[in-house]
Amino acid sequence: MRITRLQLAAALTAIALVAGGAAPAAFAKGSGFSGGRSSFSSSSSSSRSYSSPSVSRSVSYDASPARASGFVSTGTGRAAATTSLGSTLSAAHASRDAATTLNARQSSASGSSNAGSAGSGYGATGSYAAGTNAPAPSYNAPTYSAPAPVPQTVVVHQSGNDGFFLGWLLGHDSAPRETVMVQQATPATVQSGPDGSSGYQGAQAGFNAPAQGAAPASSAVSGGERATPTLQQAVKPPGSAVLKVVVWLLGIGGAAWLVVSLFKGWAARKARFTSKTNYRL
Amino acid sequence: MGLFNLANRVASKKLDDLAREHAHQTGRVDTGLPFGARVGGLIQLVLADFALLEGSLLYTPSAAQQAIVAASRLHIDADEDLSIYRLYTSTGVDRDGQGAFLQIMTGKDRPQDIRDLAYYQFLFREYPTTPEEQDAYLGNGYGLGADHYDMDSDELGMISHVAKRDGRAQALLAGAEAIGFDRDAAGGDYIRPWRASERRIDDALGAKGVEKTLSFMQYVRELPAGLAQSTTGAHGPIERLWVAFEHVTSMDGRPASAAWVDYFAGVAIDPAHLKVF
Repeated sequence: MRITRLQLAAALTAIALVAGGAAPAAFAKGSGFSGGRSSFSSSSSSSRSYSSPSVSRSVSYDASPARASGFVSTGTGRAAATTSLGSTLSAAHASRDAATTLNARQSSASGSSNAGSAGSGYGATGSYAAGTNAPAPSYNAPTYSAPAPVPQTVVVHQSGNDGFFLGWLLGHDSAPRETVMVQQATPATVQSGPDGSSGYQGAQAGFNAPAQGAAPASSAVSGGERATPTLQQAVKPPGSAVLKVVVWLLGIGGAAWLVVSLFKGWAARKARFTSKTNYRL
Repeated sequence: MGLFNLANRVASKKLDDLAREHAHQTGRVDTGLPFGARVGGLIQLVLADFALLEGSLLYTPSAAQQAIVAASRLHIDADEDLSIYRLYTSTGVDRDGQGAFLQIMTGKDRPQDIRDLAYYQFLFREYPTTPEEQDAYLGNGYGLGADHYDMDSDELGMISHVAKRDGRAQALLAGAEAIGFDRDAAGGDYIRPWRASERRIDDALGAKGVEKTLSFMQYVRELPAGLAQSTTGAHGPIERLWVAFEHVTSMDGRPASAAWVDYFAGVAIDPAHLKVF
């Protein structure tokens, strides 16, 4: 492993501190920090998101050992708080360090498993407990029972012109119905147009219920023709009522959607001019 | 422009004006500051306090009255109740922090109780890019936190207002190899740097600002006694050197990561010489 000058300097510093600062001068001259800029081995200073008009430090590796600038531990112990700011901050940090040490000793004495983390001090820039994945919540999906089969009414439009669905729904009452087929699970009465067989088969293709009712329906075909006009009159009101309900629902839904869209647009427009407090002192 | 587009733009403009009137505006957040200061207010210093300094790294401000462009508060990790505020008279180009500020330490919940008052000016900035370079400022037993700091001619040359004047750096050195500063804290050869977080607001509503963490230490030196001190036999004024490894975490409410080491020079200000409007 390549040992950099900095690492060597750090080792020398540790030795010097253990030895009681026996060679502060040696540290000052031999370590990178007494040489000031020689401690930085980067060859260029990377630009950050903030451009500096003043001269940014050109970081270059300097092999000259004797530099007068930089941080130096003199070992004289002459440093003292000169200003009230310095004395207040040093007192606060000293009391915090003392409390941390005491907590660590108490934790280790009690055999807590967290004793090791109590004395992390300033070295860590920020440590966070690794997030543990919470167990995925388990839940039972609701179960739905299949609805009971209900009679189905199928209307097949044989007209060649489809048009818009809504218009067709609105206008089907007035427009002459060319083909109406009603299929029910039980009992089944099938009406067919001129091309009855094809219409019946067309309705049968899309639904399973007609298939179930095909057998009884087929037997009732012969007897159902006489009741065709009656069935037409009987089928017409329920179908149109359902369509009317659907139309009303669609209209109300569209109106609601329009209102919600307008409110959202208005809220978005106001949000552009709403001030936001990102920071508080 | 078609008629439809014109009508659309007119309607949009009307709706914008209406929305601006009805938009919710948050209140000011620059309240509770010392001296009743607010962002956009003014501070008035006595220029003679700077002009009479001998051999100082500080320069005399261009005007006695300066606008407060930003305000911040330092939250010291060791004591959350410490009230240290900064009133920025300049935040630098693009609000990058290379400016000047008035730093005020007050009593806990007593903004009128001024404990420390000093004015700091930006000197130069470093960009430690490798882990080894950054370790020196993060409390790993060496570097920032040592009991002494020397500033040599190279670093003096990085100070813009010193480099602009020929011979200024040599005049400051006065024949020595470096300018020496002693740590402004007791505790032996080395103590870990102090840690804090700063939240700065660049407008009264707190919409614009910067949030960053600091690993810092203050160093001091005694300046040569000036005329006033020499006649009375008093010591020269104390010049401060604030060295901080700053890690920017957000700006204007958006994540914006950046890191550097800033050097500020400062001098204590007599509260009687300060006026805040």
